[in-house]
Amino acid sequence: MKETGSNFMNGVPELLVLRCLRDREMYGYELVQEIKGRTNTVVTLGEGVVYPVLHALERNGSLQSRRKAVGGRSRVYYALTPKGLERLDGLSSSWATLAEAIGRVMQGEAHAGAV
Amino acid sequence: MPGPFDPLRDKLLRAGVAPVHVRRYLSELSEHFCDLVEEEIDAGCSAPEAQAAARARLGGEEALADAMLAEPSLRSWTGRAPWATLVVGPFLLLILAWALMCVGIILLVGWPADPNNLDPRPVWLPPEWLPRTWQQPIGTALLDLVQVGGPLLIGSWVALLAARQRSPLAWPLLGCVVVALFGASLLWIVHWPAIDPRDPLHRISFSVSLGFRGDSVIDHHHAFSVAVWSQGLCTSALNLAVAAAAYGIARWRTLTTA
Repeated sequence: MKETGSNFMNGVPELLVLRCLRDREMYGYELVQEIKGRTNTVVTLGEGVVYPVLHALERNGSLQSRRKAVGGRSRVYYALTPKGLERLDGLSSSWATLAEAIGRVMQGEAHAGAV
Repeated sequence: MPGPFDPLRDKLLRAGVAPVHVRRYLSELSEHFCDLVEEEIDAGCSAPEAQAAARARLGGEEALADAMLAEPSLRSWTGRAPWATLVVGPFLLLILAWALMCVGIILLVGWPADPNNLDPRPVWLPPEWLPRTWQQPIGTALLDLVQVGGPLLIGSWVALLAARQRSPLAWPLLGCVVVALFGASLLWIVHWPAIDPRDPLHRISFSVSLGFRGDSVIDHHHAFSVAVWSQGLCTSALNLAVAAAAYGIARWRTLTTA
């Protein structure tokens, strides 16, 4: 699977990570599979690059982590904090505004093509 | 035996990413790699194919490094400002250690009133529960600990910090030389009090210069002494040798445990 173009991905991994972690705590591999599943593999990242995003979000207080031993393996689980929830709300509304604006432009092009 | 992510570890540390984040990143990548290999094997791949596919899905070394370097908040202070943590910081720490030592000695032996009553300074009496005969041995131990141990500990700390971060050698070398020379140059002289706790003669003074030693207040001389100069240089060399040993051990450990 080809990775999604990075020019269109600025801020998207952060938004997706926060949204997925709103439902439950997850470790990195689990989170990447969740993102792939929810986006029907339209959004596909180099799987390792999710960790710097997670570390940075934890550093700014949006996430908290804990190490848990599961099936003989040590996993770092990440969970959303109240600050992360606020950040998710802000990013979600920005994304909705942007998507709506781009949608209007694309619709306009379609109308112009029809005329 | 080198691990699959060792080149990435070195690259990130040299670029200034905090060792704590690098360690966790590599551990998470290793765990993720194992999960991907299991997934690929379950999907019918052979072990070598599964490993190759897992590595490709994880991302190339460049991509993994770039993702980490794109997050400035994950950089350490040693990576961002080596001059501050490896040179200026240790120097200030040495001064702080000396200041705390002076405070400790003053708390121990007291702070007498001005014998001429010209200076209305606060007077601190030594604690009554501490026998006066214990003051000088405890104070001397504190003095030796800070004067001898301070530069050694701080120099070693600089070396360990630099080794952990794979900093360019120039910064820890400069920091250790500054700490070693300054640590060896400064000699503290304490005139311990007599039996009378209000004895105005006791005080703490110091001289700063590698070859010049003497209490300017009492001795009224600061003559250059080759013996003192040699002793200062030997102390500096010892400080540097201990820091170099700490650096060597830390680098050796990172190479053998990586």
